[in-house]
Amino acid sequence: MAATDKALMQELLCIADTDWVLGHWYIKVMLNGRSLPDCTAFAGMGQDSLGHTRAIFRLLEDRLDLPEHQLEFGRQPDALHDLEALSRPPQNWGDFLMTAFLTECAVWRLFSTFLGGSDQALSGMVKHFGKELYFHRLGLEGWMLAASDEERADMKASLAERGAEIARWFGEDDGEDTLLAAGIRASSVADARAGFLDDAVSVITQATDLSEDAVLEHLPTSLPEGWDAVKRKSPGATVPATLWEFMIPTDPDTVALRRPLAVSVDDNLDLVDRAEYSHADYA
Amino acid sequence: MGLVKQKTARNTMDWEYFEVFAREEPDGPLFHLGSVSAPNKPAAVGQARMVYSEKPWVEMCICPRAEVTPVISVNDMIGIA
Repeated sequence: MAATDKALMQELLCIADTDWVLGHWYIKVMLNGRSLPDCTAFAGMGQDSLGHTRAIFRLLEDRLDLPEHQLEFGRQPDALHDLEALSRPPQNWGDFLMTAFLTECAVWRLFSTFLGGSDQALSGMVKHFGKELYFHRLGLEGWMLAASDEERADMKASLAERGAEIARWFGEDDGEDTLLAAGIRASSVADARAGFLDDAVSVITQATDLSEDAVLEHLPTSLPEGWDAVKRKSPGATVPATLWEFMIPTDPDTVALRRPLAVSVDDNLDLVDRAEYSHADYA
Repeated sequence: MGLVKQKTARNTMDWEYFEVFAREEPDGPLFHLGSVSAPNKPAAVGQARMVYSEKPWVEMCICPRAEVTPVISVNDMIGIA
């Protein structure tokens, strides 16, 4: 595999895997919406995120000549490049809002570095996804601005706990970027990080009583010991087992339901004429 | 994972309603799709985009219901009362 192909795969997996886990966060918290449109919005956000994930997976499988669906169904949690802040479930509504918002900002900013790059297909994908991701951030921003005092305190605690994990996702600017040098990336990761900080500061200072400096203090650049620069996370950080079971079920009935359509249509199941129905005469 | 038990009670009756409109073709009519209720405009915009995504609209906009000026109304005898 060429160096640029490998670097692109690693980078896109960081984005796709994070969106994959985040999409399941949305599905899990969907019923926390306060109204039907609110619940529907979370369902739509989950659907968008999973759609983006699968589109990136298909792109990589085509480019790298991998078997279809391998990236979704052929990996174990420890092979994922997901953002480690999502490895712990949200503890409350404020924690969910802060984590989801920062993750959305980070995913968009890193993905947008490919906008206008030499890979036209990828650049077009970024443009299309970007139009949808904007509304994810906006919806979450609206909720953050409407937070109660208790939720505002929870958001601040969440920023203190998870902010560093999300901010360091961009890694260190060591000056070596194969994708930027090849023109596949039109802007640097350092630019993406700066944009992420702008987004975060702009909303969090409005939604909480934190100053700009206080917000930035919780979004440091330092990397922990043993940082995995390829997966952009600390060693050992992985999707919780219960969430992984929800993402890739092992229960036989759920497995049958969640198989790709291309496989399941071959079953030709007859759901109407089943033995447990008696053909009584109702006349 | 799941937050339902920790959900904070909210008085959603106080929320503002926003009417949602969209256009399917650039030269086509602006349809009224429905409404969303949200605590503020950013949340309403996010909701509208997510809820009414059944077609690839070329234009979508929202308007606070309170800003709508009635011309003919089922509730008021405009011009008489």
